[in-house]
Amino acid sequence: MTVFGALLLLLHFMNLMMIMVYAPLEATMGLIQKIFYYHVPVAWSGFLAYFITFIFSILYLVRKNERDDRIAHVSAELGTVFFVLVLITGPIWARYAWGSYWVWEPRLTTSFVLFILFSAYLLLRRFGGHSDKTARYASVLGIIAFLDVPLVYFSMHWWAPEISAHPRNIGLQTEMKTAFFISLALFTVTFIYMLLRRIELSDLDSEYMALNRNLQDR
Amino acid sequence: MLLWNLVRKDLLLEWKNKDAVLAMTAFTALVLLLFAIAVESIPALLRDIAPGAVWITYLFAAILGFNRVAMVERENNAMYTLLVAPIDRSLLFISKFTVNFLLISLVQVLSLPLIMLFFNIDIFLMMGSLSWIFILTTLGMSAIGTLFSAMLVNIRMKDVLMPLLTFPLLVPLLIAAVSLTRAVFNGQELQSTWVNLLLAYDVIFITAGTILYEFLLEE
Repeated sequence: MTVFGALLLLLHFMNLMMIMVYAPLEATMGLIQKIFYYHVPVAWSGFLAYFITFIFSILYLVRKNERDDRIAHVSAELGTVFFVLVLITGPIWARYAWGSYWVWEPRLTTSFVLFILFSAYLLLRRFGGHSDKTARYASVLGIIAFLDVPLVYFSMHWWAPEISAHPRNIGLQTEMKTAFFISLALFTVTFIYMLLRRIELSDLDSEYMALNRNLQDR
Repeated sequence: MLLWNLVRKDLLLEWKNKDAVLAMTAFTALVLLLFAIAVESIPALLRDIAPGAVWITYLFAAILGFNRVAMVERENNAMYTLLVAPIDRSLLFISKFTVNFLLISLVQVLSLPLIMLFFNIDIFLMMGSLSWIFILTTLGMSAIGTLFSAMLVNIRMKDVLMPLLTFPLLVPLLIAAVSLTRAVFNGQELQSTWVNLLLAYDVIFITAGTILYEFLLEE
């Protein structure tokens, strides 16, 4: 696992070279367009993380396996880290592309609402403490939060149909496409790697707590 | 019949002390006043912010009600009695949901004269279309509020968590309600997309609440 992590780090350096050197400069936006190669893969990984939280929340409520709950928890944690990156890289790009850091635009607002919701999810975990009850509560929230995503998106879409400012069908050159898909794949693999490591850590933590409890019972 | 008994129990308790309704109404009046002060009661500005101000006020007021209604069963271990009774858990959700909906609706009705006075809007002439917006929005609000107030009854920092969890979830509902209310205030036609959004929201979260409520109750 550690070797694989080191390999990923190396690949990220190569990815940077691909983005900066291999992919050509975009004609109108120039250097700032390079953010796109990070922003989109990171956003995708964040959504994937929250989706995993949703799935494992359902699984926990159905089969009451304590490990499902921990997976839902750590995935939400990682998703929130990725969304912080999304909300940092987005405005930097928007300053040049849209002329202002923040526009009330569907995808941006949906991302922000999701980020707030899952921050609240993590707070619920913190204030609830370690118990079956908290696990059940968090699972319910994980499901409800995900159900809300399409509603938030469409409400923002109808609210201001004229500002749907995220680029669609951008005519990418072949080299740009190659660089983008490599970056997308790399970030997805990196996310999965981080998730697996985090689950490993969470397993160890739960084992340690079990041992500790045994020790105190004696 | 069983449902009516459950609802009646909560309404009767509320009728005896009137805590929730009084608190919510006083709060609503106060916040509406503060909104008027915040824009220095400039008539044009007041008219502009009225739809948003009204719904934000209701949202905060509703939080107070949700907590009260969820806390009723904490006294004398009454929740235990309810749980051992041969009642379907989803019925418990529907009953609490109904009580929340009725109480908030009552507060909304009581606040109408204030909206007319403070914001200078002939709100009673618009009640035909406005009442539908109020009903559909309050249904969604009550579904989310009932679910999360039941969740947070036994959690520390619940006062902070309640708005933190419910408000982001209520964003689509709030946008639809504000847009529709603005259309009514300006005498425009209602957009069916917003009405559909309200309907979809209500159906999704009343169903989700009915299914998920039992996971919040297991002891």
